Amino acid sequence: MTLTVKELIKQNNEKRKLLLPENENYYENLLVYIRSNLFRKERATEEILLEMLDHLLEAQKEGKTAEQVFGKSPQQLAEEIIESLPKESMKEVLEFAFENVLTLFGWFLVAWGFLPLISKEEQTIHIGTAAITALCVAGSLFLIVYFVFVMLKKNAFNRAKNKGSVLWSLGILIGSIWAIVLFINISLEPFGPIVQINEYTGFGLGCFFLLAAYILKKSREAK
Amino acid sequence: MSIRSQLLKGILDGCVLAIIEEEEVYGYELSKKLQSEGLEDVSEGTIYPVLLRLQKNKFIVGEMRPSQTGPNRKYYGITEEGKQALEIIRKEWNQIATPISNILGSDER
Repeated sequence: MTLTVKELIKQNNEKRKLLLPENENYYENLLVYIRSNLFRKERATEEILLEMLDHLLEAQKEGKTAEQVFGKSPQQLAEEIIESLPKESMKEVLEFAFENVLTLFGWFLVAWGFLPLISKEEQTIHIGTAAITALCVAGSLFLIVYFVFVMLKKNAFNRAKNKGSVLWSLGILIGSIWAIVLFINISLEPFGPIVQINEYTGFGLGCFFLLAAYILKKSREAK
Repeated sequence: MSIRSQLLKGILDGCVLAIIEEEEVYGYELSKKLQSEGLEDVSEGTIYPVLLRLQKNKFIVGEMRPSQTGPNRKYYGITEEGKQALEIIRKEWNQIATPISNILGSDER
């Protein structure tokens, strides 16, 4: 029998609750560090994480600590594991990126198209401005995701007390990226060909994107 | 990393393969076996990169199945390629083992 990736993650979440606080902290740092590598096969990653958790749980029964089991340098072990994990194929990476872009634009369109849906007003769109907005939104998303992963990796083995300040700096970073995007948007003179769309188009298209992303996600998780 | 663990790293792959050749094991079992053979200060975690590497080279395959005590475990078995690789490792080890222990080993010389 084979478990899906989602089931593996679920089992991991449940079994982690059985760890003693000290071991839980050690293991979770290892987990965050290993998971924050996007380009390794998700299935292999989750399998090895669950295996190591099972191992730790058995060792815990014998009174061993995570440090005794996995050594004093978790970061080095994590690096070795990441290096030995099979790489995700380019196709899968692109599919995953596509799914996330769809989700992003789906929510964006749903939010943007909601007001016209109520007020039943037609919308005027300047293709040029719309394209720049779309690019800004997508670009800022990639930037944010990139920074989140860099920070996760960098701080996985930091002491807990530093984690608050990491969250703060990340928050400020995300805030300023969005502020820049918003500023570009507002200060941009509308340009490009004009298209009229009716009150359902924006909202409807958003829903369609979200549905498509949902189907992609389900098929990915079922693997 | 201590000198001992650096020395070990290169030959650990061979040791893990040899144990898996004898019988299919899961991770925890494997580390117990290594320890009972006397490799006590190999940290148990180091077997996981080794297992991944051996799988990547198709020397072993992992299969999830229920264990005797209940929960699912990933059991590792050796492949034909793994057996061939182990043969080579054994040969190479035998060629260097005696000369090296002669050179390093005796104080009396």
